[in-house]
This record gives sequence, structure tokens and C-alpha cells, in this order.
Amino acid sequence: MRNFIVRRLMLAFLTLTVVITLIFALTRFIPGDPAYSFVGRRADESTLNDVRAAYGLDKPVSAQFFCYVGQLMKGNLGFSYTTGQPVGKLIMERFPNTLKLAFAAMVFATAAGLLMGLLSASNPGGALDRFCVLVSISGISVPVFWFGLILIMFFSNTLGWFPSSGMGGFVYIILPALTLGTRSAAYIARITRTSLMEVMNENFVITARAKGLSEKKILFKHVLKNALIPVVTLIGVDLGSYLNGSVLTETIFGWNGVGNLALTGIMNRDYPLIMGTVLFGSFIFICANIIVDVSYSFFNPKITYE
Amino acid sequence: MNKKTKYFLRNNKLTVFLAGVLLMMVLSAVFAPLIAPHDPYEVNLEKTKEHPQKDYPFGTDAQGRCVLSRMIYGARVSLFIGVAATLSALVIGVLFGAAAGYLGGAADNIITFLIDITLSLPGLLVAIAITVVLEPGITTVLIALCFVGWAGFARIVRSSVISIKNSDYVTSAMSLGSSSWLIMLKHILPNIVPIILITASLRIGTFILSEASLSFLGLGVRPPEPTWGSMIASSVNYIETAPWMAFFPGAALAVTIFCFNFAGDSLKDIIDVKDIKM
Repeated sequence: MRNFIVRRLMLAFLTLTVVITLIFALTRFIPGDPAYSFVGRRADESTLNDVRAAYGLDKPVSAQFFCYVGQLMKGNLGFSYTTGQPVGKLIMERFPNTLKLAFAAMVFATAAGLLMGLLSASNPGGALDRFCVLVSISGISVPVFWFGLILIMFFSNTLGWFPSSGMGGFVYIILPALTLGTRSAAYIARITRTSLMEVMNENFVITARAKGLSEKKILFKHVLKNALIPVVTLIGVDLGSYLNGSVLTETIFGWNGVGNLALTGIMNRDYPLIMGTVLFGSFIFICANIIVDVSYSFFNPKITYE
Repeated sequence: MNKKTKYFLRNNKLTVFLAGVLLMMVLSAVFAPLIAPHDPYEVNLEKTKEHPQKDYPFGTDAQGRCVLSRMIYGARVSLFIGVAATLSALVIGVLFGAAAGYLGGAADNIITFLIDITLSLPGLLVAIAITVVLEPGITTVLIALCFVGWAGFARIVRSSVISIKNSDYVTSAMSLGSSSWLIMLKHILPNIVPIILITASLRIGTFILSEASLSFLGLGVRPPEPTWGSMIASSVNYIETAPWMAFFPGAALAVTIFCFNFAGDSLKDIIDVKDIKM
């Protein structure tokens, strides 16, 4: 167990190294003086010189790489071209919003996904099951950005129930959370269904039935506990990917989170901002994956890691 | 056609129908110039944001271009990138996966490590980082999608190869003195084709979706070439006044991806995956 955690941490560390190296290599492809890619073309000569010194841009590439890593360790992600503010600060300002949206989406996805999975598994092959399966394949197939627009068309423009974009009270979070959570809901429904059906056939369920327990008791006391292990993992992984800022959903709803910040960066070709958000997102994603993997081994004592 | 397939076709009318829809999409993409009612690039400022009508079945966009014609041409980009990215990721994935599974030892360790790392990268973000820096265009999108997409294939191929390698018939082929290449090509590869097919059809949808997302963010194929993603992006500001601009290309996208995903699921049923130990 301890070995597993150590190995997992090492892998995460290496993955992060790969991301950093990749981003470093990519910034070399940006045309023009690399110093510009940290502070932008409008910077004056003294700022440029500061950057060249800080990132060792007058030294060989290997030294530049270590300077870059050194700056990252200090929490310095560079400065935005357009506003001149530190990228790290811009990201941290918006992160709470992304967090809020991610949790709202996950609450919806978990509730809807579990319900659909349970309904499906209650009568496999029946009409309700086939309907739920179709709904879940649709949920996986529909592009989030389009689904968001459709929700706006219907619920904001036609019915006028929810605001189409912006931030504020509870009503503002409903449509973005639905948009972001649909895909996960679909996956959760699928996994819940397969997992429930597998566990239903286990010997301990047959035993429980044989000793005369009610179906309700079997479901809640014996089946769910075991069937939900893979579901919990899935929820964790998805939450991890939402936390890195859902560029598409946040853009459509004008949600002022990390994803929207990334889009602003893309629009302005603000490279430090783009690379900063990508790096931050990867970091969160990798951390979330470790937490999921480690907690998985607690949830499921049957699993042994060599 | 064996009995099982006939039985399947009779009982899965939806699958057959969706296959037909997909075929129609492919045909209209291939024969786009013959089918499209208008020139997809023709700007007509007198007819901007026209409702769907007889001349323009899906309406016109903010520059008066025919939405249907642009969609038909857009299908070319989406389907081409979907298929091309899947094929390239598949080739890389099969090569690495088969090598890792068959050779074992150090090669396996290194490749497994690369697979693990790639799978723990946030795909869309990495694709954004790549496409934002490199020259925009189809090649860049393909590079970005392959970079994040090969590992899924490699992992599945590796584990299937390992299970087949330990089967009795491979052991007997080995003991008869067959060369590694012969075993690989004659005994192992044919047996992993079904699982590759299933994975591929599920992946095409993902790749088409990723391409559309990149186009939506303005990182895909360059305008004015129409893609479904960029058509939706350019309609965001007109969602109230001209909802058809976003609706139809997105519906095409959703239907196409749905078809591929559904096909993947059905393939799983036709080809009994349990025949191959995963």
C-alpha cells in the first residue's frame, strides 16, 4: 500500500515534469524573441532585460529550462501580455468561481447519473433501461458548447426562466452546471448500470435473497455499497477535470472562471496567460487523479497493488 | 453473413438506421460540391440571418452565407479529421502497444510509463497548448489529437497482446519454431482486430468532438473554411436573433458522434468481447 502511494506520487511528479517540459518546448516555437513571450511586445527595454536575466535567456537552452522551473517553483507563472499582471494572481482570483461551478455540476451529475443507473439496472433490457441507455449515449455524444447554447435558447430566450449568462445568485449557476454536468451524468449512469448488474449476480446477493431479505434491503445494504466503488472513482476523476477550468462551458455562460481566463488568453494570443492556465489546469488534474487513486485503495480493500 | 449477424440486424433496427444516417453524412461530405445548394463561401449582405426557407433550408448566417451548404462542406473537415486522427493514433497505438505487450521487459516498462503519463494529461488543455503555438491548420489539429489520443489504443492493444501471448496456440507456435514476426502477424494481430475496431469507433466520436471544440475556440482549421465547430462559434452572438445558425451544425455534430458511439456499443454486442480476454 505504501509502495503504491510512493509509486503513484513518483508517476505524478514525472507527469508534471513532462507537462512543464512540453510547455517550455512549445514556448520556444512562439515566433520572435522569447523574452516577449513572457512580458509581451509592449514591454520596455528594462523589463525585457529583467526577464532575460530572470529566465536566463542569454544562456544555453538547458540553463533556460532550469531557470524556468525555478521561477515556477517560486509560483511565478509569468505576466499577462495584455494586463501586465502576474498570471498566477489572475488565476487564483478566478479559481473560486471555477470551484463553485465544478461542484454544482458534480452534484447534478451524481444525482442524475445514479438515478438513471438505478432505473436502468432495476429492469435490464426493459423499455426504461433501453431509454436510459439511449439518453446516456446522447449525453456522451452531445458537444458541451452546443448543448449550452440549446439550453440558453430554450430556458433563457424562450421560457425566460434563467439568465443566459453572467454571475450572481443561485439562478445563474443552474444552466452552466447542467451543461457541464451532463457528460458526467451520462458516464455515471453507464458505470452505475454495469456495476450494479455485475454485483447483483454475486453469490452474496443470492445468499441474501435466499435468507429472505427484502429487495430493498438487499439493494441498499449489500449491492450499493459494492457497486458504487467504481462510481466514486469516476466522480473523482471528472471533478478533477472540471477543476482545471471548463473552457467551453465558462465561455458560453460568461462564467468568470479559469476557463474563461484561458479563452481571453487564446483570443489575444496572450501566451503567458494560456500556458499558465494550461499548467495550472494540468497540476490540478494530476493532483485530483492521485487523490482518486489513493482513496480507491481505501474504498476497495480487495484491490492489492503489487 | 452468419446466423448471429442476421439475428442481430433483425433485432437492431436502430443500429441499421443510424448506420444509414452515417453513410448519408459520408456521401454528402464526399460529394459536397454536387449536393450543396449554394457556394459555402459566397457572402450575400442583402440576405443576412434569413430564416430557414425554401431557398435556404437551414437559413443564412450573419454574412448571408447558406448554413446548409457550409454544413455539408464542414462535414468534410469533421469526418476527415475524425477518421485521420483515429487512424494515425491507431497506428501509433498498435505499434507501441504490440511492442510493449510482445517484447515485455524494459521495452514494456518504458512504453507503459509513456502510456501512463499521456493518459494522465488533461487532453483538451494539452491540445490547446499545441494548437495555439503551431501554425493553425488540419495538420496541427491532427498532431495535437494524436499526441493525446494514441495512448488509449496502446493500452488496450498491450493488454490484449499479453493475454493472447500466453494462450496455448501461441505457445505451440513458439515451440514449433515460428519466428516472432510470424507469430505477431499470423496469430496475435488478427485476434486483436475486433477490440481495435470497437475502440476505434468509440474514439472517432471523441476526436470529432475535440476537433469541434478546438474550432469553437478558434484553434482549428482557419476561416473562411467552414467547420461545424467554428460555425457554432460564430453564431454565439446571434443566439437570440438567429438560433438556426447554431442549431443545425451542432445537431449534425451531435448526430454524427452519437452514431459512432452507438456503433461502438453495438459492435461490442456483435463481437463478443469476452471471447478475447481483456
